[in-house]
Amino acid sequence: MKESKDKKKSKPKPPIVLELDKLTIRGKAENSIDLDRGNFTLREGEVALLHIDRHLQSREFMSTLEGLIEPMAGETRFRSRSWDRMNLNDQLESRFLIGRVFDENAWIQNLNLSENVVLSMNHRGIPDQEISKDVDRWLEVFEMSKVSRLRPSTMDDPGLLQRHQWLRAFTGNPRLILLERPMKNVAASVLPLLIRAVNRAASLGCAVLWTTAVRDYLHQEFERPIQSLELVGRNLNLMNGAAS
Amino acid sequence: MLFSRAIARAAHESEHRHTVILRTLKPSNSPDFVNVARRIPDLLRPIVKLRPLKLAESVGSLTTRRWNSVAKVFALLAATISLAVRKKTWSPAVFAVLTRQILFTGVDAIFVAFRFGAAFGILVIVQAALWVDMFGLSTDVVAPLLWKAIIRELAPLLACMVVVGRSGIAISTELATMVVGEELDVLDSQGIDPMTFLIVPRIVSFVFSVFALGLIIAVAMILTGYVVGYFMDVIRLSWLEFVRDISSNFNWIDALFFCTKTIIASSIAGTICCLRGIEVKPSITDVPRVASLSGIHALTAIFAVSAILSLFIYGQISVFKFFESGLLH
Repeated sequence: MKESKDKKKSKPKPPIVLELDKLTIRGKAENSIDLDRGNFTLREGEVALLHIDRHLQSREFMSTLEGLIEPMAGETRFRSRSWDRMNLNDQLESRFLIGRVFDENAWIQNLNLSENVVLSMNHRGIPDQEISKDVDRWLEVFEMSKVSRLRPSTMDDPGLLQRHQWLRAFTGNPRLILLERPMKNVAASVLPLLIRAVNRAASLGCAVLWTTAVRDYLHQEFERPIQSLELVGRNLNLMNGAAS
Repeated sequence: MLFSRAIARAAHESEHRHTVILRTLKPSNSPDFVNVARRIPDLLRPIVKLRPLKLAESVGSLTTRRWNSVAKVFALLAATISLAVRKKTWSPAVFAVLTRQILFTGVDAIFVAFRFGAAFGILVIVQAALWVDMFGLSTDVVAPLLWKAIIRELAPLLACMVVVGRSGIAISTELATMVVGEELDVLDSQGIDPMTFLIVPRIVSFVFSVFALGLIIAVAMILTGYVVGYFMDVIRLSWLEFVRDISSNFNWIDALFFCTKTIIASSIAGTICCLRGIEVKPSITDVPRVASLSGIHALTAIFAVSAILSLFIYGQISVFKFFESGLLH
């Protein structure tokens, strides 16, 4: 009995993927997220829901987590490495391991959607066959028949366009996925597909951070315990009673 | 009472007179430099009134801004060259951008370049015909004159102008729109360096296109120059003799001049177009301003580079060589 308790205690925690260490952010716009000395840790296979007010934009916040914007104070660490201590090549290599769904302005307009989805994998020199297999796997998860060859500006269906964003974020075996209001312009009936994709990514060791204004997502069928966070003013609070 | 009134009136008048005298004699309230300006001829007064120190400050500030602008262009060009020579830069995605740019900048401009070259060929041969008539020069002068003017000066310059006008402004507009639309962030967030993906292939395609179009323009100019010259009786050689004559005038200086002019001028022009594009303010209304500015700056740079290269490479040397060949005696 004592041995099994010891074994449970000594079970190693998964490695940390994303860590905020006294992070202080001031957004440029009035509706950007501001943060004061925020602390947060996300490990491999964990899913976190960050609840923000409907009027807030999370783009700058997520860009700061990706090391694209320097915070006012504090540090963001990706896989235990601080962004400001990495050189440019290391930063680019690290960002390749991050999938992201943007709230707005998500596409390279002079490429078609198919080229957009595989752009980063193509740029890394991953063989076409491997890319194709990976894309097909996630097409199945999102119940899409194929990747469109239309340009983003000519795509009529905003819901389908958003699902192409999901496809881009989840392919390429990312270690961290940042979802900024991923259900924007998407029918609620498609939500289970996204939950399924999140569960699958988490089971593969990917960490997921999802910003949303909807609290109902806590009660969805996530396979793993969810860290539920709330932004109150400039404070990041871990909500009690995280749902599973 | 009358006496007191008289005294009061006299005092008042005296005071008034005194005040008037004081006003005429007292220096004006203007600062000294204005008083100095009054003594200087009219033409120089504006300069003094502007205050020499303020004028010097303005000139200094303008010079510093121009210098910073030039330094940025060369810094970006140096970074492009250092990235372009690395094999790792040329991923399949970047190579795809390069091929697309060469198609748009070079291949699609072939007919335009040919038309420009043909029109300029006619202009050059007409001028050559005028010289022949006016100065009684031998028609043997026409072929080398045509060759040297075209290869050394006109073809590289025209090719740069075609590419800047057709593609340079479009590149600036495209990059500016991407900046405003936050597309550079989208690239960055996927681990794709915007410098490698956007700037390097565009500048490299600019250089290749100008070089190739320069050759096409040269051929077009020589061809139309010969055809029109033959019918104007300025050129009395057969086509083969004309080509042989031109080939005999070809030397390594011509090749050096052509290559350096096309490569250097086009790389600087391409860099300017890209730089202006990414320097756009984050507003869509700034895009047209940036586009027209890039065209003007790129064209200015092309002419300046051509002039400077002409001075450096030719200068006095080619003039002496031209005399030595005895063609003008």
